[in-house]
Amino acid sequence: MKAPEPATEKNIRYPAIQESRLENGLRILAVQDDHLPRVFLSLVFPVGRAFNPDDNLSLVSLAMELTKSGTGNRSASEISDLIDQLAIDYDSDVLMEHSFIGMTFLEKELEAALGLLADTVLEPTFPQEELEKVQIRWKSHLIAQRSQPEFLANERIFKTLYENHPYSRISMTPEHLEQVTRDSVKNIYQSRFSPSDAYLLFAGPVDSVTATDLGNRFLGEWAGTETPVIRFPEPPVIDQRFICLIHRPHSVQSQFLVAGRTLPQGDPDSITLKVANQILGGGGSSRLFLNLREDKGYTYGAYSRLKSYRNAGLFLAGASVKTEVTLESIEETLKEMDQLHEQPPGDEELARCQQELIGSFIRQMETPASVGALELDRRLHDLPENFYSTFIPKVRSINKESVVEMARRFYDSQRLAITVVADREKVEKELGRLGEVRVFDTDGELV
Amino acid sequence: MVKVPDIEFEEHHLENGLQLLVHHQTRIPLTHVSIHYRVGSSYETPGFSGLAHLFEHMMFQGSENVAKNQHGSYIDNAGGRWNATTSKDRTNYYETVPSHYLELALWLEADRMQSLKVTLENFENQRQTVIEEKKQSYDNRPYGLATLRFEELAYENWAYAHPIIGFIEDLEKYTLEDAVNFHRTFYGPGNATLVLAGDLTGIDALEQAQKYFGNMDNHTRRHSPSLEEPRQTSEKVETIQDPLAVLPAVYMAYHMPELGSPEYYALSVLALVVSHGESSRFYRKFIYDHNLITSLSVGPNQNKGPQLFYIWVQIQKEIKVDQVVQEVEEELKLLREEPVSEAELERARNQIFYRFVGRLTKVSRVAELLAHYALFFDDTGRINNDLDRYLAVTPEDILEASRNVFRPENRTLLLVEPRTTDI
Repeated sequence: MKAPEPATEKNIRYPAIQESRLENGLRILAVQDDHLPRVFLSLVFPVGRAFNPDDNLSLVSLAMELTKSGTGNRSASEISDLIDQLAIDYDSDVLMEHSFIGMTFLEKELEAALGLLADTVLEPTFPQEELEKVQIRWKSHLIAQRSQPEFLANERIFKTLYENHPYSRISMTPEHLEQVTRDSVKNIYQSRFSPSDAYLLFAGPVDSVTATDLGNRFLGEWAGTETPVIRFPEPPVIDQRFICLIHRPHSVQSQFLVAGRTLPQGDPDSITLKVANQILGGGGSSRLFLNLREDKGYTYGAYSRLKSYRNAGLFLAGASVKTEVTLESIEETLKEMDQLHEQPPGDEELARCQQELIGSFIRQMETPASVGALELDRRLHDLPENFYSTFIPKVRSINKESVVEMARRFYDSQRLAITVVADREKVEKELGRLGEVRVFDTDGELV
Repeated sequence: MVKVPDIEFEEHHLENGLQLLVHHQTRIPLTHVSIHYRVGSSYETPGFSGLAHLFEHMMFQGSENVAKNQHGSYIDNAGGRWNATTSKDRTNYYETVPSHYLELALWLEADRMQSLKVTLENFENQRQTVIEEKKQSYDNRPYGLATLRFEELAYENWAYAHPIIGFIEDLEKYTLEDAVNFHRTFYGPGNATLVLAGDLTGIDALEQAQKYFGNMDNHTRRHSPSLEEPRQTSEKVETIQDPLAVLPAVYMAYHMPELGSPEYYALSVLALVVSHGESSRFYRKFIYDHNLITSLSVGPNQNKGPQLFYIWVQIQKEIKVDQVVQEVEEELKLLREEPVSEAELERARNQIFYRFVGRLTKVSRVAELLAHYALFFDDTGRINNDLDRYLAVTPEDILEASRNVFRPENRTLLLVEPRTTDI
């Protein structure tokens, strides 16, 4: 029996997003959607962990964290009382090249939430005792993350592919936390976090006129400063294969990652690269998944993904596999990469991967918050204005030859980094067949 | 007061016993198709642990008209997403597809409900995959083995005590025939609930369900495992060493009644008071004020039957485990003696309102909630009046539930000691 044919496809339009700009430079974005009495508010700064000074990678994160730890009007406890009283789902994070404060709450709390946001970003006081509390809390998290194999593999990949470049900065260290001073945190906040290059997104039952009015009322007084334009150097060229083994005693599996450098953000070829990634390891029908899991049973799942930054991006492919097939799993991964150089995707495979990307894009249009997140992402990655309104036809226009070209350019099994987190005794010798192996401990030190 | 929008739905029952739930909305041309079977790990018997979950993997290994892995590729070709999950009380399979592919999803689900076509080779392949899943999710992770051990220690009834993922010795001995029998016993229309949520414009959902599922015989019957848990009369304590952990942790739990009981609502509200947000009692005291712990997770474990009220904490390096256990006990003692304040309760209510409004953000969420009420309460309509039960909770209800549940002899404690200096 054959599968039923689809019905007539319904058109989907990328929603209109309204933008305005306040006198202080703050850009206000509004994704109006009256479906639910709930608002997502996000304040985004183009300042990420790569913007930390070389000698201390904790400053940007501490600056973000401490905005809610005391202001001219409220203590840290009063702020957390208010967040919970208003039932605000509060989140903030620092990524590679940007950082954000996100708040989701019921529509009736809109003004109260904005008032709180304004208080925290306009008048943070960075109290010394709050800094000390965060130092203790975070130190434990830094210790605990070193017991997670995914973190260890990832950290070593970034250090290997980006060497001393700011993009190598995955995490601060306990020493950075210990050495930080209140003044240095305050200084980085005042010099880098400014309305002039920030975005404030409203997603929910708020029209653009109201969003602009509210922005003006609550954040119009925020003067900020002229933020310096920071240009990162070009990352080093990767011209060989690096193999790093992180010795994690008592491991009962091997967590491996294979990664190489790709395109910088905003590159016109980035959509073609996305299709190539879908083919390699983009989901449960991809070549890596079918090979390592469905054919060989080496793993619960094998995937690849892309990350892109202003100066350079990377692909990462990997899995957590049976220890005794560590080498075979990595070899199969490299083989899949190489095969894509010579063996173009079939018609069906290409169509499937294109459709996966389109489907994922459509699902992101289900909530105003995820539409807003896409729009912020477009701006932060310098993508053209019509990037999303033309996304579907662009994905459909990708052909096999261009996918193969991407694979030849970037899936180069001789120029990449391989990291394995495992019990050294069980895998070191055989990993030597891939090349020279450097061994590290879970503290990241070369053994 | 915010008006929480009702979730509109239709409910139908096919002659063969299939329950059909339908939620229609036109915001976006997406439809979520979800099928829930009334079988989970609590339906297993000793010696057969992990079979419900291993079987879930089999449902992707081929049926009469669909080859191994073709289920996923059909949905991927349509631009959809798919997966499945197994809990202690049920197993579900779902697809979110562009609406014009609704019939494809129904056809795929119907095909694997009525026919399983798994080869020995594919069965073996998934056995290995599940063993690796266990290692990745538990054995190779800090606190993974403690997580599995804890419910074994706390529950006396094997139904909830044993892990969903199963014991390796059981996983290793299953045969293809076990899978075939499992399918025959539990996978049929009379044991399933089908939910369609999304843009169903111009579609007669009942007619579609009839078309794909209506001709199946109902060879299954509903099973009801005994979930009864004896009253715990003395505290249980155990310590385990975890070579993968770097910080100590404590698993603490108290037996409490089932989902939907008065205690369930009272203690769900209490969990918000003590652990939701940085102003909550436990966060404020144990993290903000005294930095005794690094993280915490508190609340009922959401099983359908007898639940555990969980308190999990990861402890700061230089802090003594006994001190944390003692301080948690003092907080619980306070809860047994004094009602929570009106201000605390109001805050929790605001958080509950916020959560209930958020239920309608995605069609997939609506579908899974409808199934939740249908399967666990046999009352889908409860989806629209459950909020009232949370809002009706009073400080006295919380006090009474705390007195009944947080009894010293009702406590199970698992202490996890981190690795020493053997590296």
